[in-house]
Amino acid sequence: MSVVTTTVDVTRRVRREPLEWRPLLLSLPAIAILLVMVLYPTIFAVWTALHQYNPMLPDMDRFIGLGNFEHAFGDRIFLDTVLRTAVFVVVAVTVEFVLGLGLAIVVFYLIAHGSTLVRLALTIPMIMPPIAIGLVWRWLFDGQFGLINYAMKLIGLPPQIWLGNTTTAMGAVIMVEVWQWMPFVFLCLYAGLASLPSEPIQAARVDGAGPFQLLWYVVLPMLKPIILVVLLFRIIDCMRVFDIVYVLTEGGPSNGTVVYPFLIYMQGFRYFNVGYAAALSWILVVFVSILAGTLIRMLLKSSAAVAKAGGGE
Amino acid sequence: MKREISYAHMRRIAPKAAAYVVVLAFVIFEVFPVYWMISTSFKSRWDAFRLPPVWFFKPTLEHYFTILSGKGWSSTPITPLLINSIIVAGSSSVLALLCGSLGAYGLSRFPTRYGKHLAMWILSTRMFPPVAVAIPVFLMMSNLGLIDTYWALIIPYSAFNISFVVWMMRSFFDQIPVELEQAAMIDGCSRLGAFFRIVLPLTLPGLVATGVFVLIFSWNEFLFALILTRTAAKTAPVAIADFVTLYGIQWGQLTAYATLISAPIIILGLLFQRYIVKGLTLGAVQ
Amino acid sequence: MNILLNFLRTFLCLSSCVVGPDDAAEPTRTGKTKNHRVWGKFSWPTSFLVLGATTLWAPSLRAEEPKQLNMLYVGVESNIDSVRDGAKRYEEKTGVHINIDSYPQTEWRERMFTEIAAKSPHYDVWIVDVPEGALVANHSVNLLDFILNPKVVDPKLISPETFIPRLMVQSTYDPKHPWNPPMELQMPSYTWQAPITMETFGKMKKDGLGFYGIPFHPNVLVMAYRKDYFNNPDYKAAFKAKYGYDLIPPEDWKQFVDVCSFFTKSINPNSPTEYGCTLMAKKHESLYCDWRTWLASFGVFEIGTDMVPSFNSEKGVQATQFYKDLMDKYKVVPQAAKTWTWDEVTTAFGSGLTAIAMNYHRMLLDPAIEQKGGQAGFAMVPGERQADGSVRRAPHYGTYYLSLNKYANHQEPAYKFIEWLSSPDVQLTFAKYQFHSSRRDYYQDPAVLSKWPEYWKPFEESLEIGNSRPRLTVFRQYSETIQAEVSSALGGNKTVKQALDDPACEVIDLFKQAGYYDALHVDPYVKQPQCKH
Repeated sequence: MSVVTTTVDVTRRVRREPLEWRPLLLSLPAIAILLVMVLYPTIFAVWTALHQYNPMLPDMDRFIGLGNFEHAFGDRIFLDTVLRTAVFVVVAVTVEFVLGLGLAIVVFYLIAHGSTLVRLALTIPMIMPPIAIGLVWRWLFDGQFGLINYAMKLIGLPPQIWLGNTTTAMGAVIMVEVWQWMPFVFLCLYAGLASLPSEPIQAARVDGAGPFQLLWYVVLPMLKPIILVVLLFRIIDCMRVFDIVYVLTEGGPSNGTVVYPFLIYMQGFRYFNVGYAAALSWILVVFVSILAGTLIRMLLKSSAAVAKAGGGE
Repeated sequence: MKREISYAHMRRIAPKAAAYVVVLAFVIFEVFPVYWMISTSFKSRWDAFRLPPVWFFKPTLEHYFTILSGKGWSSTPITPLLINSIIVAGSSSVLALLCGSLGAYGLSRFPTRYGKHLAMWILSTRMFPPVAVAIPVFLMMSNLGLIDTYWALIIPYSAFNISFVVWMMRSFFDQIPVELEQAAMIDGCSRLGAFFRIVLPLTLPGLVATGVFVLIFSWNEFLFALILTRTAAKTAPVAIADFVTLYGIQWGQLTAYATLISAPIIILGLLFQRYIVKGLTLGAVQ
Repeated sequence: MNILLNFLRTFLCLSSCVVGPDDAAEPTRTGKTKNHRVWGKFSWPTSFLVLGATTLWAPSLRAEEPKQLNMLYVGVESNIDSVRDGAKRYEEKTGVHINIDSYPQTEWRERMFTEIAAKSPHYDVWIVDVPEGALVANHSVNLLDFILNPKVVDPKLISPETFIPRLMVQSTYDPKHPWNPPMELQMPSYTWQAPITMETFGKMKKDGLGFYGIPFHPNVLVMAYRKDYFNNPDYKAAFKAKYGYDLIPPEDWKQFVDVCSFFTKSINPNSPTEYGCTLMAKKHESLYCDWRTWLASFGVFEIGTDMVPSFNSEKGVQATQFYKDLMDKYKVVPQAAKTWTWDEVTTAFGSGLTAIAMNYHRMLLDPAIEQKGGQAGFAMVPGERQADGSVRRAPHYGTYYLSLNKYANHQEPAYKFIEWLSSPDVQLTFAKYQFHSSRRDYYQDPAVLSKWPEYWKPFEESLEIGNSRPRLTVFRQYSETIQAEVSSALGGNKTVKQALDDPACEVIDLFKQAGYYDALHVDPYVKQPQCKH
């Protein structure tokens, strides 16, 4: 692809020239806003993470160094939460990504009429306020008054107390998360498909490629940059999921659906252990940064390889 | 002869028919809870959870009237909340889109050694959970005297969305070949002019998609709106929890309220749909 | 007007953007007029500039600043309508405008916490709920400063004799350690037993206690039942035939099981309701409140005077097991109750699913049911029958109280406001909002009683004998630890004994960290040796 070859040329030239400042200049407004929001909270978060700090009990403030972190790694609830969050993110992102990508491809290529309607219909779940949606789903899942159990009774299956059992409650949370954000994946990938140039596809079709080969060897590689971004953001956002858990289960049957952000909320806003909550947040940030960095490097490498192969033609 | 024709015919129709069925199933799955929510807003309070579910009922506008007249379970009348929401969400979205697109353009067109690090830093601003940031932000805004003003919300919302705008728009810009801008610059356009007149229009579907998400986030954001406002700048989502009362969830009013505050965004989405279509035709032309 | 102008401008920008792309795509097309080309060249940047300027200008439209006293209040949980009404009348009377910010309980808590973290002087008056009391006490004004100042106080307004006595202790703390086990065990009896007079406040001051809020809107657990079923002659006959005594709202736990079984369809196919009764057993504060009602009725205190947990005693296990049995063994409560709190219980009773339910407010029936003759009656919750024939009832109760922000600047006018708002005469005027009053004479007033006598009588009686939480600086952690474990037992993941022994040890760790045992010089492992590690 011509874009990549140009990039490579410019980079080689840049090494011998003065530093390219244009991206910095163009990003200046963005950086300014970010700095305002990030600077003080970061300092505060570092300071409190090293202290035992409860704003309601200011007399009990003391410096404890890494005490909060030690406490975290020795806390059973913390370790359970980490595992649970990992499972949640993997399952939820995989499901919503597969569904979103599949739907985007199907709608873009196979649905002629009504694609606008589909796009509109799928945008609606994301627009609704999370609290309202959470309450509606909580009611749908209710053991006694819920529509889901009602439907199951009609079919002849035994009704379940969906939110009363740790496993099914976790499944319910995942389902609502997928329900709400699969449209996001769908819309972004649909926009991506819409922006793809048509020559490579036509060329491949002329060459005799079947539909699946077209998809796998032509369309998906061209979609790689958008897929990467969408995946990245979904993973990061899934690791911060809060509203759904809060409204559906509030941590669930005996702490069974406490995910990481909810644990931070519990510690920071319920128990007012602001120092401990800050320490937990840092652990999360470090972990997510490593994960995101690895992901980006992995996918950039493979997309560069594909581009090189494409550019060679 | 006849069998061959119909078999070939089916081979062409079958995938399309299957596609329609599958898509319909997903659309129903996605839309049903929202439909249930909106239809509940027209039911009387006790009809909301009657089993077997009431599919056909006498619709009532009582909940909407109650909310709009300010007599409902909510502590605040809805109109000032909606206005605040419009100002806050609109301003922060435009700000984020503007600043983010500029930054994304720079990162996309001028690769540098620090480009990757800058992009990663921008992404990292999204990783801190808002719950942990709420207290220091309140302290900061309180010291600046900004609590309960629009700026108290606009700055955090823009900051939050910038990472998303930068990364999304960068990937869209990456798809546009540099030759187009170079051609425009040969014709006498400035760099920035080329950005506004060539690149941005071509990436309109991406810009609109990004803008929609940014707007939705700012519109529905709850925690910062709760913490950083008191009376004057309170936005619509904060009041929705008022309907979950000790006396039971006021389903009629809750769903009516949720529908009312989602309506502006839906209307906006309808208005902007044509931009995605426009972008599509342009893409086909080139 | 300004906002309209903004929108007009924004709309114009957007429409100019519509013009933009077409021109941009064909920059060198001939045949266009000169003006059109010039506009086309500048349309995009202009649009963005105007849009940007508009967005930067719009936020400078500030809404009006509130004036006079600022009050942070909860919502319907403590009857916001009454307070709004009262604030309006106070403004008419004194010219002082009260600006009220009202939030639901959880959001109110988060807002108050944030304001205190910043030591913000914005709010003059707070409402406080008992669970947060210990934490807020040191950030609130000690009202004794005003009450014992004859130049400020108006004894007719504060009127201590008319308070329901045990509500007073809820806002009374020893500032040196604002945490206590249940009041009967620690606070001096004059703080929660009649008579309460102005001298009581003097005694509090002498003993070094602080009085941090005026009780306002208490809640207590009251049992609701289907009066129409209980008065129905067929059901009465059938019940008597089966159980040998008259069908009345149950007074002790044995009767409770009998009556609920009678009204459960799976046990009695002729029952008009599917289940006899319901509980609020979700992992939630509601479960903690239910649980402690049961425990206290069995005579068990959760925590002793030495702050060592005592809820895992034999009787404690018995009480918890009985609570669980209602759902799993006797099956008179729907299984779904394990995911229900105050809200769903209201629905369960109101929709006719159960014949009996317990809650903290007057529950209503579906109008369709009322049309068919449905009637709600109210009585005190059952308890444990004692050897001498009396019943030990201990319904859980709590109260909100009006408090002053220590960091605010208008403390005396704020005090006058809350003194007036909580005075007996003013509270009487809130009857039309179904206000829960903290004054005894409210419940004897004929005007009040004429409206819902069947509710107010058992409500007030329950308040007089109610049992209240331990007040802790780590209350939330304490309650949620117990909630998680009891919820585990209800889900069948642990035995009841295990589900009480484990949190006993966790609570000891929690209190140790909070410094309670050091302050009292107590070794908790003497009473709970198995927790030592």
